Amino acid sequence: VSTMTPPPRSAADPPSAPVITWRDAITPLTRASRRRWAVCYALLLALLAACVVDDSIGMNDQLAGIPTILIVAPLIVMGMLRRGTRRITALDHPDLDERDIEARNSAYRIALPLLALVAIAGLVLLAVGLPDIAHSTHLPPPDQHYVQTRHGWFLQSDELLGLGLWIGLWAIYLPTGVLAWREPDALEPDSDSRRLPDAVRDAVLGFALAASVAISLIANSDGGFWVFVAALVLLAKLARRTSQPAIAHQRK
Amino acid sequence: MGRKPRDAGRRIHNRLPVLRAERDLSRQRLAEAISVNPQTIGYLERGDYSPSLELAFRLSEFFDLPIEAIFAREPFAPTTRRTSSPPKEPT
Repeated sequence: VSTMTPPPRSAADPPSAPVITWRDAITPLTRASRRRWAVCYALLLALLAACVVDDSIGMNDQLAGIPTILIVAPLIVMGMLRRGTRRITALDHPDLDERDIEARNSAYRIALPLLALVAIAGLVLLAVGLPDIAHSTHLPPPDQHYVQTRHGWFLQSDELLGLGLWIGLWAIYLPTGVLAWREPDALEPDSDSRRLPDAVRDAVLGFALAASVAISLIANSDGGFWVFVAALVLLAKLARRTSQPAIAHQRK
Repeated sequence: MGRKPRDAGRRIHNRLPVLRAERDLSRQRLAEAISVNPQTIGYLERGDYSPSLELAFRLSEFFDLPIEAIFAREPFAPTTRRTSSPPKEPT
């Protein structure tokens, strides 16, 4: 169930049952769960980068060898983390109180040096991975027999684009990731609402994600993506079923 | 501006859960009254967050109590201990 502040309701309005969407079903509210998904997102980014730079990893017939699940899953996990932290890191968030603003500022302060580390690591890995190219130049007459040779990296636009994307994706993720790591457990709501335990939800979704990635990379089939989608549908249905008694109780 | 307490020794204790229960207030209602997020009320009650002076004053005005009746360096004594103390001997 969303932790955002609901709009004020007049006393005349009857209490409406909360509608549980698939996004609500997978929102991590405990710190332990958020930390699991923060680590998962970092692993997904690393796997995404490996698919781009290493031809032996990834799918043969896909764009840059990237399976669909490695494009969709980071978006979904990022959404989970943002909802789990009540989107506090959004710079244009209208409803932040003093604690939220302090938590957001603190997250950005910590994320900045981490981003610098990621950028440096990316540059170092790129430098190590690029082949050393010998560049020879035949000088024009009268020194035409003299060949000037230089050694160095041959950096193409693909590598530059990849590095930019790598740093950009981490820049988007890190403030939310830091906040997800540091924020305390969300509070149980005052009302009698029930939720699927975070550990169960994480186990189901994590297993489906791992299976999906494995099918995509090992079997070279994009069918693994549908395993992940099926898990999302299953969790949404389970969450609705789990909340039914509570909703019925609230209606009485 | 408030901050998260770093260790238990510097924690600010509060009587918000008791005051809220006495007035039959939900976290949501209290949060709306003092213009904060309901989660912040919960973090205050749990000791995960120490309020700023501004927020402490807002709570003090809302409950019509002095700040030291709501927040303290030392844990508040349970109400039952205070009310169940033996009566004084007549002199």
